[in-house]
Amino acid sequence: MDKTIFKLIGFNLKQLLHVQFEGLFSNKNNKTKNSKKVISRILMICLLIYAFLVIGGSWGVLCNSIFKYLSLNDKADIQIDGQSVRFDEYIVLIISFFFIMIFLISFLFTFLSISSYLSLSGTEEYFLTLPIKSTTFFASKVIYLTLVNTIYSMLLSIITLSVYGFHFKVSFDYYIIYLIISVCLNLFAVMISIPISLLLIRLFKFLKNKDTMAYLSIFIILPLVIGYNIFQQNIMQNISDPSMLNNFAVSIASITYSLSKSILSPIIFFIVFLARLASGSFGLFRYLYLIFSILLVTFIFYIIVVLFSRMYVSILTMTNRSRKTSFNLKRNSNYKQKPIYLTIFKKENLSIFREPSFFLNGPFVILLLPLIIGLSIFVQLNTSKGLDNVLSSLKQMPEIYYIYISVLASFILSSFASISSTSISREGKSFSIIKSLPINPLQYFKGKISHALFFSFICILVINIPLYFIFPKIELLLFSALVSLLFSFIFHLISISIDLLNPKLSWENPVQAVKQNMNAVYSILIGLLFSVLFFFQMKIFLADIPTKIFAKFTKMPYDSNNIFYTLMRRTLFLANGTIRTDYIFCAGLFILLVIASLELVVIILALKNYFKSRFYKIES
Amino acid sequence: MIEIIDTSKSYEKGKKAVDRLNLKIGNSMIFGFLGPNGAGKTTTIKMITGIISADEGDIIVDGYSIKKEPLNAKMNFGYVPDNSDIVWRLKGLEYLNFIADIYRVSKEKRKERIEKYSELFDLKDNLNQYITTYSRGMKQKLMLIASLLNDPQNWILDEPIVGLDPIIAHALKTEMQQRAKDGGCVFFSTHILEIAEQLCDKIAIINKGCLLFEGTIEEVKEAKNQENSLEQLFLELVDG
Repeated sequence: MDKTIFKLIGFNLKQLLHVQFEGLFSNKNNKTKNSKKVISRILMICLLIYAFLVIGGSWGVLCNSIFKYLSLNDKADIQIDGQSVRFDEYIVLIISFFFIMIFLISFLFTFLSISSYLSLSGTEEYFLTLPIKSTTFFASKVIYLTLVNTIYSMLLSIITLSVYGFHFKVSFDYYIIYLIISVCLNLFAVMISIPISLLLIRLFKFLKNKDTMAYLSIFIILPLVIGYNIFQQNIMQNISDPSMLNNFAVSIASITYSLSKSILSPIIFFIVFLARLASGSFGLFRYLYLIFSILLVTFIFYIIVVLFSRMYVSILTMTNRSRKTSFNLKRNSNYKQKPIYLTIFKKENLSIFREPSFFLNGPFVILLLPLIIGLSIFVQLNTSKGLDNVLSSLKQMPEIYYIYISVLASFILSSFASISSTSISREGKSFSIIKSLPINPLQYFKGKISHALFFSFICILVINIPLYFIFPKIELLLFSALVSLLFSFIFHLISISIDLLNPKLSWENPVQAVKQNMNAVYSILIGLLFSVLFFFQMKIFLADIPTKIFAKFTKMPYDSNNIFYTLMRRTLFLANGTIRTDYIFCAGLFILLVIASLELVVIILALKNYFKSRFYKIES
Repeated sequence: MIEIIDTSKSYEKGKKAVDRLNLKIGNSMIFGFLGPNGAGKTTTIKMITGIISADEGDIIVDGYSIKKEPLNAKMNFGYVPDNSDIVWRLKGLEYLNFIADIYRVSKEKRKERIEKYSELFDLKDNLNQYITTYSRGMKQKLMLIASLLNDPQNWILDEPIVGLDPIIAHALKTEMQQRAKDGGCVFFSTHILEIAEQLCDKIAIINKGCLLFEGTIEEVKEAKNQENSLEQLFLELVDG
């Protein structure tokens, strides 16, 4: 291994940062352009800070409640699985538990980016022609992947250890040790994840198609993702109840204790070792142990690089074998004329389904997230025998909640799928082709939005079909679908306008356009903000205002023959329930529908000129 | 007809990629746009096609300003880029249908043209394959076919010969000549001076964003009062 490793890492990082923050640091000479740029830069920096606060905030709260509780504890021995454990050992087990969680995040993030590190870009093709050893090439890739995939988990480990350090009043040098521990832990996770993914890919080599191999490997790892989610939900459920904190702390220590005796013991052993170092168990010898852990990670890194570099390069250079299909150019069905927005819709659809990175970060999320969440809830409730109770209480829920759930879930899901927020970036260098064609920008965006709405519609189906079994009312299904679509429309308009402001067009690897695109993050954050906004909006229009208005008119007798009531009932197909609830609900739904439509119209009018002018200004 | 009027473009402060360029490319002619690397040829072509906007001046395609009426202007040309970077995971025929839809080419006409040009540029057996699997030359051929789907009056080509084998290069040159003969305007940039000498009715030589010469090959020779080859004249002009 030589200096080339660092040059390759530097090159990759430079390329990543350049395309990632191009808009933030680019220096334009035009003064009028500059003032607009400054505003957009400030907005983006604010969003970036907000992103880190959202990501780190909930984890920080979790760590704070546990470590604060433990720091105030009487430090007596604890009974875990029938064995007496010293308090300092108990702390080590708790920290180890957090480390295991962080390890799993890094492991999964790296694993799920499988399609990105197995796709061969033009630059990599060139690197492979240079006299660079496969070990050097692979080593640089492992370090690069660690840096890219562990930003989130690195942040979590630093938060965990800082909160621990704060409550247990450790000396200042420990904070430097914590930084090194965080790097060791996450690098260790990546080093376990990459060989497993390579071995799985190798297992499916007979398929002779890298894309299919990547899909299959990800499906194999799905149970782990679902398991992790169940685990995390359990934690959040326990942490919300302060009286459960003690039991929770003991149970997580018990989990770590059991894991250390399982088949995973070699991995857990190292994690517990790092936790012991962080907890201060090694006292004055801490630097010695720190050096030992650095050396150990370096040694594992070296072994993995030596063992897997050839396998990596051989998979990387593998070409997909396509199926031979019969094709006749003269067949008339090959030539169908479509309207412009529909042809853009078709192009988008074909691209997103055929490109693994686009599919895994888009449509796959729409199907995967409800599956993971649904299965997690099902398993959790089934094990606690609470499924029947929950289902019966859900059935008794007011109808308004049904709409809340449907709208918010489809909305959040749409934002997580990043289909609209990366729609311009996904065009990459081909955007110049689009610009040379006689496409009306509004037609172009119509195609893009139709495509995003198509996936929102799938979201709505995915959410509403299970809900229909709880609330078997077709009128509710239709109405909530309509409201969800209207709100999704607004969201997609805003998401596309964010991507349009600073699209990431110069990418070599498709994953850079979606997963490593800050516009997707901004869009998720805005989506979350909008969810809160829409929740209150729905509450106001479906419950608060109609109730108040209705209260004023309670003296007015309900007349089933009244044309207004009849029309509203027939329009919204809401004929069940009591007269009063129906009336309030109908009025609320009607107002909400009108308000959502008005909001949509206002946003379309506000963004119309922006879409048009920005389209022509983008220079790839 | 393409008119470039007082057009300038700069990427860096104080450094103009194209400086007050004026050109008029009439119908029934092949116009060669020559210049060394970084002279501003691609920037000019990108401004004509609306990929980038000019800082100053305007470009008129068949009476339509690319700034004010971009859709009408774009309907009147076909464009072949120098770098056929198509990142979309489409098959060759899907891409051609996409382009034909944008130009609103009818089903019958697109069928006829795709068959004709895929035969001419020898790509008909590859149209069912993904573009991502194409070689550079195949991508170039696909872009050539796509640029002709709307049967454009103005054909703009950026370094079209690069990457093509001699047989296809010959077919392309014949097609360019045929289009000019039929009253069309063919505007192309090239490094290969023999091709310019052999094909062009008129040439323009550009260096560091400035127009050095515009006229027929004979005119350039007359201007220099020499019987030398275009290569020697080009070197003299560019070296100053």
